[in-house]
Amino acid sequence: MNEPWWIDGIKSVVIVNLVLLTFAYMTLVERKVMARMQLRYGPNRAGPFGLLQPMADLVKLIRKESFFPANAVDTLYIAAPVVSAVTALTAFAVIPFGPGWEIFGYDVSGYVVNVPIALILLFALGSLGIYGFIIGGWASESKYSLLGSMRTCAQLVSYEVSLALSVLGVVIMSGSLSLVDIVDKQNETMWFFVPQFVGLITFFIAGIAETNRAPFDLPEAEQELVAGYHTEYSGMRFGLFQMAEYINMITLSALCVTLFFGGWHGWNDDVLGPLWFILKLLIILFVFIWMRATLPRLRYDQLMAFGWKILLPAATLNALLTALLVVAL
Amino acid sequence: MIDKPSVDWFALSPVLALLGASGIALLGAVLMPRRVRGPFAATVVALGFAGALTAAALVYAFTDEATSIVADAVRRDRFAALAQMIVAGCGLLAVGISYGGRRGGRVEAGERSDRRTASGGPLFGQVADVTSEYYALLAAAGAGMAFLVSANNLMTLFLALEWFSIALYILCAIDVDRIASLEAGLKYLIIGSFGSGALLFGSALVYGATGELGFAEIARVQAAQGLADDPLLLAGLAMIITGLAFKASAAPFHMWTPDVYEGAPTPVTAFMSAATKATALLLMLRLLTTAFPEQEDLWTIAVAVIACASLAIGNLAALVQRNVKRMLAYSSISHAGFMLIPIAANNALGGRALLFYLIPYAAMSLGAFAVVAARERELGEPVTLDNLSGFGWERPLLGIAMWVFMLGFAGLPLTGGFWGKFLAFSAAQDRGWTWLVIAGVAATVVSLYYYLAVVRAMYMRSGAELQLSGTASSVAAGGSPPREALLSLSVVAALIVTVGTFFAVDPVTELARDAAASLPF
Amino acid sequence: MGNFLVWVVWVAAAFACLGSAVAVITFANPFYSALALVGNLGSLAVLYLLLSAEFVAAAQMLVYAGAVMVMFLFVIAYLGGRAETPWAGGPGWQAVAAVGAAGALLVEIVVAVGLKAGGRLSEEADVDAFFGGPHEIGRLFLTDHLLAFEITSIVLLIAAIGGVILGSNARSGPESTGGSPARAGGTRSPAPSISAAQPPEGEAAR
Repeated sequence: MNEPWWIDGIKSVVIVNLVLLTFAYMTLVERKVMARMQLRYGPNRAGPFGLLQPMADLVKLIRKESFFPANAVDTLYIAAPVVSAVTALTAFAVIPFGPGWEIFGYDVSGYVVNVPIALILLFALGSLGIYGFIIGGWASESKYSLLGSMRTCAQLVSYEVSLALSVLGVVIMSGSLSLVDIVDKQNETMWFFVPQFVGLITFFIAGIAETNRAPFDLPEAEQELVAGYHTEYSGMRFGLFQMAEYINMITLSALCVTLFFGGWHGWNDDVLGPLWFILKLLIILFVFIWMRATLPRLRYDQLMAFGWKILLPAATLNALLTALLVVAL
Repeated sequence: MIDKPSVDWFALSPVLALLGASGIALLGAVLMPRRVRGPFAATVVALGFAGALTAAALVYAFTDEATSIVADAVRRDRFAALAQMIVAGCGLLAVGISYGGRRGGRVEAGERSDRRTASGGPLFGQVADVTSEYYALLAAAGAGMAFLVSANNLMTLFLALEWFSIALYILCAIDVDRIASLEAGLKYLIIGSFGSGALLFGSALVYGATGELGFAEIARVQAAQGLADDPLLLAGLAMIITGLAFKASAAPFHMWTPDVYEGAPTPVTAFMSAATKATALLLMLRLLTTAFPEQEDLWTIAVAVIACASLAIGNLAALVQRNVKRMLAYSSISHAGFMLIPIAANNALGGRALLFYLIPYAAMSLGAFAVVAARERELGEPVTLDNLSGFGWERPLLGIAMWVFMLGFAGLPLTGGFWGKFLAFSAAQDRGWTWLVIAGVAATVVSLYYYLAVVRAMYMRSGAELQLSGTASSVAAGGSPPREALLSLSVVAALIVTVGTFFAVDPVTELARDAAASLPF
Repeated sequence: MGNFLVWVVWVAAAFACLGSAVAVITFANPFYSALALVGNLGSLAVLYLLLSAEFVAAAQMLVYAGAVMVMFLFVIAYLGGRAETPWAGGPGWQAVAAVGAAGALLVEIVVAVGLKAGGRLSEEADVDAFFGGPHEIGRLFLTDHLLAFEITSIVLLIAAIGGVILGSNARSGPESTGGSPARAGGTRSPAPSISAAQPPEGEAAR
């Protein structure tokens, strides 16, 4: 499969825009779904059913004053949200979304890049994303921001371990770190959520914590910390942080689909692959929102105890058992 | 599938015994009832060291021919086995010296705290007792050293060095209530990391020049490709020597030694001064002779210069010390110099001399620090030449032992130190380096002054005319000193080794000769 | 095209590597130093990529840049200390000597590498497709470097135990006795004020 380099460019542009669109409408869907679960209507003024709400939000964010604390460290303060957003967006490059096609005589593969270490790359990017949060909190020169970023940092580092260990089972079963190989392997055998059920659960829980979503949204617990690390941010810089969070969530859901639910495989997936992928992605995203609407926030010590004493041993045991079974069978 | 290398468990057994003891002691720290934790851990670790000693002796006995094992990562030979015996013996004595002391936050009876409340008690009484962990780390450090002496490539070398270094960093800082202990740990950590960095960088350069990690392979590639004068290789060699000299605390890489030896808990100091130095020097000998025979002209000179610098700095600085631990620290620097002389000689006699020298040296060093530890527990403050006075009369056994150790350090007859120095000097003479012998003899003469000063302080004035503090004054007034059976036993053992190596010089030299024969001279 | 791109990336990464390394030791603010170290690790990872060691590069980013350095920043941000000036009063003679020695070593190594560059360092390395991949590295861990791999875990375990020992003790008392510089030896300068490094409770930041 030899494709000219500009096809990669086109694919990148399409994917980035699709992800951004998903992000924009995720905010709306989240508000709508939460509202319906709480017997409210949610945003319904901008356009039919409030469909133009994201656009309105965007315009509002751009036109707002970009507040800048007097003591903030300027370069870092500005760079922080960019770091978060860029690493979040880059991660999508390695996620396969289709079998690959031949369009107008050109080979078009179903991924932007296929690297043999895609999974590690994803985690590396995820851990780089933390820098945005910690630098942002530190550079704003404000107690709330700093405490928020410290919390984020501690939480992300703690749950990153469980997250990485929970996918180890999948890696052992598929024998590869490449997401393309993992998806193919699932097509040959079965979707990994069946044998790796514990892995899926730990992955999903750690994923929620990793994306700072309720019930693990301690870093921005508004009762204690105003808004966490982005307290001092406003305007589009705030928007970038927000974007990073949502895109992280989307990436994680995409990873979940890829690792546990067969990626783009489904009925008639030669053509409909990307659609299957998006469908599964949306379902996972819906679960994310559902969790947020359902569960109350944890206390901080509960969060840490849960992460280190329950989640991590569970993930480790799962990986060990999988390794044993794979070797034995 | 992949071909896994076969593992020679027997050759690894000394290391495994120590690791096992360390693990059991750690488990005991959690599972055993609070009261017996300390004794339990001490017993287990002592058994571990004894087991390692036995295992190493067995390996020595059953290894006729040196072989590389476990994918050439380590070497199974008599050199390593004898070195492991030395390390295990050091550890055994160190456990004896430590026994009875409580490590951790609380202030030990014999050591003054820098942080006290107004009422005089240690601040925050409920601090963790980490005595079991202390013993576990001691065993872990011993395991690292036992592994290091058998290292056969640059990667295992570095990892094993870090292994015991990290354990020692923690052991130095383990009395967290004493600022001096924390300072010792921190200083050792920072400067030790620098030394490790130099070693690692040097290894990288050597690997870059030769493309090999194994010691023998490095020499082979050099010979095959004519790399003897390769600048990259030479820079790497220099940095490796630097890194190892840091660990052996040879001048001019010694600056951490006095502070760390002084601040660390005394049993740890004793273990460090004996075992760490032995390990680093033995490894240096193995590495230089095995991997760099082509650069022999260069490194022998370099090592000789380091030896002279250590002799000069160690002895001169020791002259003016009043604190006994500091004095012994400088003395250990000068002994690093003495023991570098046989390495610089680079002949079979030198290898034998180093191995022989290390045995009485380790015993004397441990014994001397044990006596200091005993005095420290009595007084509750650092031991200086002043408050050592009368000690020889109060505690006859320890006093005589200290006397012997000091004479042994100075290299006088009736102690093994005499033969050690004799062999070291004759190795240098064999090479034709009379100047090195002269430097060594001059240093010996100078060292007599401060070694005898200790003896003088212990005996020349009686305790009664002195203003002694704490228990010591009650001892002087007719009370009995605290009895530490195991500590005294360790001192006696050290004494036996020190004197025994003088009389049993032939069998020990034969052991050393057989061990040195596994190195390519 | 491809070769030119490699050159551009190499030059950029190499200079970023050197620049950030210098920045680490020249910044007065430890937070910036740590960030520069992150940059250094990142540019090193790029160099690894150019050497077709993808796995090492990604692991470097994940472990060092992603986990270890975050902990550094975490601690530095907690302890505060933006206005620390380690070079106050100008560099001492030791610093000058250290810079001199480092410079000499640098020159020596650059000369050494330069002398060799005409030889085999300029030859293209011959690596197969599996080189630097997880398979090959995993194989090495289980064969040639089995023992090294295993003892690495022991080293880390010991370090973790040590962290627990020292950490659990340090937590027992937010000591605030700044006033007793006396120390066991008493023969040398006052001990470094380790206790002063911990801020009083309730003032976690700066």
